[in-house]
Order: sequence, then structure tokens, then C-alpha cells
Amino acid sequence: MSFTIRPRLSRILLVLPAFVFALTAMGCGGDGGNRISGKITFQGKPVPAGKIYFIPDGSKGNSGATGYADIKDGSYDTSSGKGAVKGAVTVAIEGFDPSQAGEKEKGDTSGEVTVKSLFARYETKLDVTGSMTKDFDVPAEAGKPGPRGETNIVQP
Amino acid sequence: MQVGGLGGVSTHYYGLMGPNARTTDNFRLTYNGQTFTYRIGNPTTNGGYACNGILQQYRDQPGSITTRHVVRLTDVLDGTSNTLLLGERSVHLPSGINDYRSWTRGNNGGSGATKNIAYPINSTNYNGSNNFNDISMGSNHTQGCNFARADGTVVFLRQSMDLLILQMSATYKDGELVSINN
Repeated sequence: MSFTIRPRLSRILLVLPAFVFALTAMGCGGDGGNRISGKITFQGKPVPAGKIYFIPDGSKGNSGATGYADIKDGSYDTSSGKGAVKGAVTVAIEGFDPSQAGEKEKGDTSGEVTVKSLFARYETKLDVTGSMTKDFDVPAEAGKPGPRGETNIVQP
Repeated sequence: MQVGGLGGVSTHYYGLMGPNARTTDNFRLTYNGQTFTYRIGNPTTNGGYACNGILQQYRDQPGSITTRHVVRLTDVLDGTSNTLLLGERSVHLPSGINDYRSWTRGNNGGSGATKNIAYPINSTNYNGSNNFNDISMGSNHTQGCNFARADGTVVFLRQSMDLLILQMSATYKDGELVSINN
């Protein structure tokens, strides 16, 4: 005994739009979480490259996976990375200018090419209420050297 | 072939130096209402060197990078089953990015053999600038990668796990007993 499964083309065509809609609604690409997107500027100019993170704030009792997205030409969208959890999160932003060379660690003889970091890792707080758009402007102070001359990493 | 530490010889298993939050030295993490403070050596470049993991390059606090620093089994106060020793990084990288180095590279411009835990699994490649020691562990296995614990067992951790748990699991004697699970 044998079965031949031959779904009719018309039936597939009927179901396909619903399937595509379901995928879109789930925000495929990012694996879960709330989709957040927006613009990133530093001193009013778009940040050419970098990364943004949405880290659950453990000091406020929030937990879960960290959301993230690449920053490209001043915009980010977690649908290409990972969505953020709801509630209190720490937003961390790192920005780079790939067209400029970066600083070297003292004693580095590797000869590697590095790119310039625009500002120290900038952190701010956000309450994620759901999928949302949110623009961030990194203040000019973030680009100034720290107390020991560090330009890469700073605690706001 | 290997040029300047780059090239065909690559390391896919890294020692863990401990947690880093890419901020300055003495950064804090709060877990279960309790706050822990972590030290970072040389935080200005390449993400610095975390000081609270078993395979750190300092003696628990910033100073000069040291060799022959030994952490014994009995030093692992958080429990060998609760502490991560090594992590896997075997990600197929997009073109233009290369952050694999050989162990023999040592400390030249960032650590070739050890990494900090600063980012979630499978989230962060080398940005070409200042996160060389902080790149995330990861793999092309589905949704996670392998870690070795100090008791010698290997555990597969999911990339959706709480970063805080991963960071806490990378410390060996701060007194928080986090069981490593997803």
C-alpha cells in the first residue's frame, strides 16, 4: 500500500500569504525579544559603524538575553541581531569610524591595522515597553579622554 | 602560514580571564540583589584584561601581567562545577573580519590565548578597534557553543542565556554560586 501526497497548487497559494504574514509578525531574523530600531548620532552626526546592546538591568531585577544590533550609517535595527527583553535595560553604544586609523596598544608590534573609536562605550538607561523606535544621541563628553587619558572606555 | 599572528593558524578554544563590562576597572554586577565588584587590568586598550577568572593574566588584581600564576582546585571557591574555564570560538566570520590568533602570539596587542566574558554568545566579532579581548564566545552549532568547566566537564550553553549568568560563571572565588545552565 502506498500513499502519494500531492498537495494541490491552489491550496499552497492559499496558505502562503498567511505563512509569510506570520513570519513578518514574529520579526524573523532576530530570535525573539522586542524589536527596537532607530538612529544613532554623535555630536549630531550619524555614527558610521558600531554596535548597540540592550542589557537587562540586574540591579532593577530584570533578567534575560541581551539584545543587540549593528549600527550602520547612523541606523540600527535589532531585527538583524537580537531583540530586547521588556523592562529596565542598560543601553550600551559603541561607535567607530572605519575610514580612520585607531590607536595602538603600547608595545604592539603585530602590525595590524585598527580603526578609530569615536567615543568611549556610552551607556544609558531605557525602559523597554515593547517593540519600539528609539533614537540615541551620544553626547560630546563621551568622546573626551577619561581621567587617565583613556579614550576607548569610560563609565558615564 | 602565519603573518603577524594572523592567518592559517587559529585558536578555537580560549581560556577565560573573567567578566568584563567594557567599562573602567572596578565595575559592578548585581545578581540576586547582591552586588559584586570586578577588576580589569589595562582597561584602556583592547577591552583590557579581566582579573577574576581562573585563566586570568594577573594575580586577581591589575598590576603587571604575570606568568606562573597558579589557581589551584581548592582556590575555586565558587565550586569547580559552577566555574567556567575555557570557551569555544569557532565562528565562520564575515569577510573583512579576522579575530583568530594563535596561542603562540601571547600578549602582543591583546591576548591570543584568553578572552574576557563581555558579550553574549555569538553576538560580537572584533570591531577592528578596541574589543579584541572581549569578542564573544560562539560557534556555528545551532544557537550556542561549548564551554569547559573547571571540573573537566563540557557544557553547551545557549546564546539566549542571561549574560549576567555567563559573566558570574566566569569568576572563580567571588562567593556567588551560580549553577551553570541555560
